[in-house]
Amino acid sequence: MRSILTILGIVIGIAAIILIMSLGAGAQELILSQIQGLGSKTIAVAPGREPKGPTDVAQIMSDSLKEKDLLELNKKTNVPTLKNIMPIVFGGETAAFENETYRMTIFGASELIMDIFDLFPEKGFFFAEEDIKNNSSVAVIGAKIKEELFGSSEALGEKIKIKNRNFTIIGVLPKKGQVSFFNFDEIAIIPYTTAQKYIFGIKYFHRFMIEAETESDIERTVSDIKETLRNSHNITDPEKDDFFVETQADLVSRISTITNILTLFLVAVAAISLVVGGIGIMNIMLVSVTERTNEIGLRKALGATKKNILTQFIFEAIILTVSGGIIGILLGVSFSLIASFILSRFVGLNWQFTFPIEGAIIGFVVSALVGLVFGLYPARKASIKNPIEALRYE
Amino acid sequence: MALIEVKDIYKIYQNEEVSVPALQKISFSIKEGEFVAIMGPSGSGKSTLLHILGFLDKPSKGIYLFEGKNVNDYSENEIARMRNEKIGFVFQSFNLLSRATVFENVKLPLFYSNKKESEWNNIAKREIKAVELSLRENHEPSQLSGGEKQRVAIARALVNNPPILFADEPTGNLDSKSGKMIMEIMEKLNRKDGRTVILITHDQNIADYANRIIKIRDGMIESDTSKNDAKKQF
Repeated sequence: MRSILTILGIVIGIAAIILIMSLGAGAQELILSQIQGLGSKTIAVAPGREPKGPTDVAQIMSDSLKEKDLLELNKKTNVPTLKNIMPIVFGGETAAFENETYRMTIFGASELIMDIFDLFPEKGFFFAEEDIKNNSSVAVIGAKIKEELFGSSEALGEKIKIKNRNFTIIGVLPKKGQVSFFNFDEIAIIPYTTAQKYIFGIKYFHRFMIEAETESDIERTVSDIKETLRNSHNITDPEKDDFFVETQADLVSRISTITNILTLFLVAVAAISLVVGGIGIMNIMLVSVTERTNEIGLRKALGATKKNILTQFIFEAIILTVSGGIIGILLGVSFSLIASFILSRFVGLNWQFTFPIEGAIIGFVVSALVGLVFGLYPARKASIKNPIEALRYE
Repeated sequence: MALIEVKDIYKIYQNEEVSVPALQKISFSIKEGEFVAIMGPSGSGKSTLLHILGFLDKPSKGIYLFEGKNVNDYSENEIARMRNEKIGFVFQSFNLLSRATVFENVKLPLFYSNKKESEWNNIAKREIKAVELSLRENHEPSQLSGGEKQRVAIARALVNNPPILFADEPTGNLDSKSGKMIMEIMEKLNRKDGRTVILITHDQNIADYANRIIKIRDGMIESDTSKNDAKKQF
């Protein structure tokens, strides 16, 4: 009973580490699967400087991407492997229909959005090249917006008011959820020219989404894009780029870094409980050494060396902590199984349970180390006991 | 050559500013195969002497030769080896591990020996059989009588086949009937197996089993007498 209470700290610490590592891996997988929804041939060009570290705030709203760049990038001589290019402008706006209003993201894009984001209207149709040329006031809305503004009644053909301008709804998107950084259920897509002119009042773009011919062309496409934009912006020193190009692989590695740091931080917090647990182990081992003074004296009288006694007590401490570790691993795995069940079943996330093999190995090794470190002092105390005094102890 | 030879042994306990001599100028030698009883009232220093002879303690001054070699020169690990291989110890309070069975208790010294692990079980069983406790092999000490406990302790002391057996008041916690049985085992070990036995007692009846009695008083040898008519019954 005393042993069980003693190892509780280790059990909780290891279980917490396993749980955090498992949930961290699951969250990472979830985010990455969403990014991968973007398609591996997609390249994003954003204005401003590429953030170099977590404290380096990029000039996200810089206005360096202009109409001229769009034309340059579209030239086959500049970027021969470019298949599609779509400029994007976006921002939050409130739309109104009769008495209902709803705040959404306005997404100024072109018809190529269907290819790039794999997005097709469930009802109605998408606007065409013509609408972009003519600054048409047409919109394709997400499933959530349709529900909020129109409920169960028909939305196609109705007009919604955004910034005092009427937009005719020509298409409704199917429920799609989060894709990449956008929740398409809460987005209204309108021609980018219309969005620039009437909604945001700007002459630049927030992003270029570019699709390369094939996946193997990505690297070449990226360097062609950079060269073209540098020429267009009269930049000679790449350090002074006022745009940055990001591929899906870049995004994946950046997100992974962030989630890894977060997981590591939480694991470090959980590790504190291991130190506390270790002190508990040391405490109980000291009590045990005192209680067993007589035994230690006897063992020495029978021929045990200092090293024999030291090894015995360290070994006992390690057995204690490792069994705590194993219980902790089992508990942590069960908790993360339950958590992933709840997240996928009741929260509705596409959550995958990840068995944290690394976490299990780390948990096992760390619990053994805790036993070794915190068992050392009591074991040393036991080993230097004088056999006569130890035998006399009652 | 004497098995044990001590020359001018002193043991002085240093207490703050007072120094208390527990043993003074002790000299004697014990040959192989002797049965020696060390007698004296409590506080006479007889236990201290036994501890020094049994490598559990070191003299403050003087020379202790075991098999002709000076024990003072031994390292801590060599001392541990001596305790394990050369001597068996039987205590007044048995000192058995309470949570271990008879079999495990008897096996204990083998853990610290050079003997092959594959032989441990057989050796332990043989020694348990010699003290007629084979049927109690899997009992824990709490299930045994005092006499049985002491027989377990004797089996444990002999498991590494040491040439010398030390007994510190082995019958002190036993009734006279069990005490007699223990002494008969000791006697057999000496007479039949030729093992050197050194025991401490303050009971003349127990001391009479020995063929030599060293009497100690106030840390000094009072008398050292050998008998030829060794055995006397009580």
